[in-house]
Amino acid sequence: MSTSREAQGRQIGRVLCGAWRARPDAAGLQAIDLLEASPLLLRSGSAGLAWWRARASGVPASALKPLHDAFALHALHGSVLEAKIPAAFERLRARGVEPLLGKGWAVARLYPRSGLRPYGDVDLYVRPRDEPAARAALEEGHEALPVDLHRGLAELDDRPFDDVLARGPLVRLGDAEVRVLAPEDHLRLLALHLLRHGAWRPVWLCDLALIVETRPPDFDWEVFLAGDPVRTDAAACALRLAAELLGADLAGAPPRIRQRALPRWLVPAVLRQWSDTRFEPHGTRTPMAAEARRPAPLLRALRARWPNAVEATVGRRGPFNELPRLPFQIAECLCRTLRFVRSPPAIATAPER
Amino acid sequence: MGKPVSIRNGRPRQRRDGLVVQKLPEETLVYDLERHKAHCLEATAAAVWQACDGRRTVEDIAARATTRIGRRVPEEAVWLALRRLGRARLLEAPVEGPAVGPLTSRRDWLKKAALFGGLSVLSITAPTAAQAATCTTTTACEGLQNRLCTGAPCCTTGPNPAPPGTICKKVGNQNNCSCAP
Repeated sequence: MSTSREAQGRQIGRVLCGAWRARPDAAGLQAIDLLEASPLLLRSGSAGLAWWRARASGVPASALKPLHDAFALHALHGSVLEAKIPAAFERLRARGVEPLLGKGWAVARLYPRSGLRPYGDVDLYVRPRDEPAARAALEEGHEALPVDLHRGLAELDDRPFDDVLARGPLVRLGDAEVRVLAPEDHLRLLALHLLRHGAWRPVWLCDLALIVETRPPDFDWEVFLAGDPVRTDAAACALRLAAELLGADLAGAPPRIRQRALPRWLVPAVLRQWSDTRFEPHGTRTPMAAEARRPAPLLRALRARWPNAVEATVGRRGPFNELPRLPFQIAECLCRTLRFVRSPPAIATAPER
Repeated sequence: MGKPVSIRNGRPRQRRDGLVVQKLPEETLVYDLERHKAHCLEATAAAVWQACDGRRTVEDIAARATTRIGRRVPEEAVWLALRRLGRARLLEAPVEGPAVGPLTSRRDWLKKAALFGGLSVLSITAPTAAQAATCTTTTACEGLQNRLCTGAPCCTTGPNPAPPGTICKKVGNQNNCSCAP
């Protein structure tokens, strides 16, 4: 049975349906959906896409202003970040480290307009052995760069880093060339990243739809599907979710993706997550180490960290089947608690990504 | 047209320092790094702003903007755009507008100019919830270690708001992160 929270999530899905396209269909957009979903769209960083689709609709400009303003701010913030990417590559290359750029700008550049896909930092992936040198290089110089440095490719560690690096094309960014993930690797990484974070941002699902629909003619689905079969199935479910909730066109995708039946709990779990107004995104929560010192907010902090069915399944490397998710959620919560208790203070206060 | 007032040498100059500019097909977005304000310039206002090089007169700017947007931009419209750009601090010196003649009221020419359209210089406000997607709270930032500072914008809303325009970054040689300006 559909709950009101699921209905709110459905509204978001209807507003964002096809919004990543160069000419989204504004005619199918219901003004009531847009107006009611606006607070959640703003909260989840999806406002720019909603504005992009709605601007040709009959919705009054005054009602669209908050969405447009969010788009404009994302565009400006994106241009500030974009300007710093070449410097980050330069610093790393000076130390002999070739990074891969993923998520953020690497996917935002594919949208029809900058600002439609917000991002908060620059995600660079380096070989695990290069991580100390890369971190030292980033700490050099006067200007702090907004880089989120990743030691290896966590979501893609079932394939050799060097293979991923070799497939990654160089793309032009101003006067520089930066190396991004190949579309096959990027799609898999984004799908698994989305699931690992409980699919809380609808724009992540738009990313998948965009990459699938704008993939190059030589896109190799076998590369996308290669690796750990449990992860591959999870990634296939993520693409099916994009089709189910946002109308992504999976034409040309292998049958094991197009015909993957989603477990019954998955869509409601994602819709409820999209409409959770109390959810605190990763990176904005007060570190658990700080919360643990104050008993009063501890319960609230624990609630904020209760994993939803999607992230618990991925966190426990569980299959996306019809079995109940509660055991996965309890197990994931216990594992996180154990990790927190065992970790030294310096790690315990690290940002939650 | 009357003579312009409050404009240096009669040739307005676009402010360049401390601005982040993003040109889009329908509009130009400008972020003022000094005042932490964002503005959205409609097509005509953007064309006028881009033509303000400190050498062109209002007449020259009108001609330049006409070429750029593909339809005639009257001088009244340029004056109105300059006034709005000046108020938004996007010009090096403020512009008040032409001195009006006895037969033309200030309100009349403003009306005439406004009819032209595309002259808006809109201030953009940060939607509270929009920030939540990419900002770090002050408390979360201060709980981090310098190697792990997010570099993301600090949240300017909530229980412990950070100053606008700040990012979560390391503080000098100390071992922690801060949202301080």
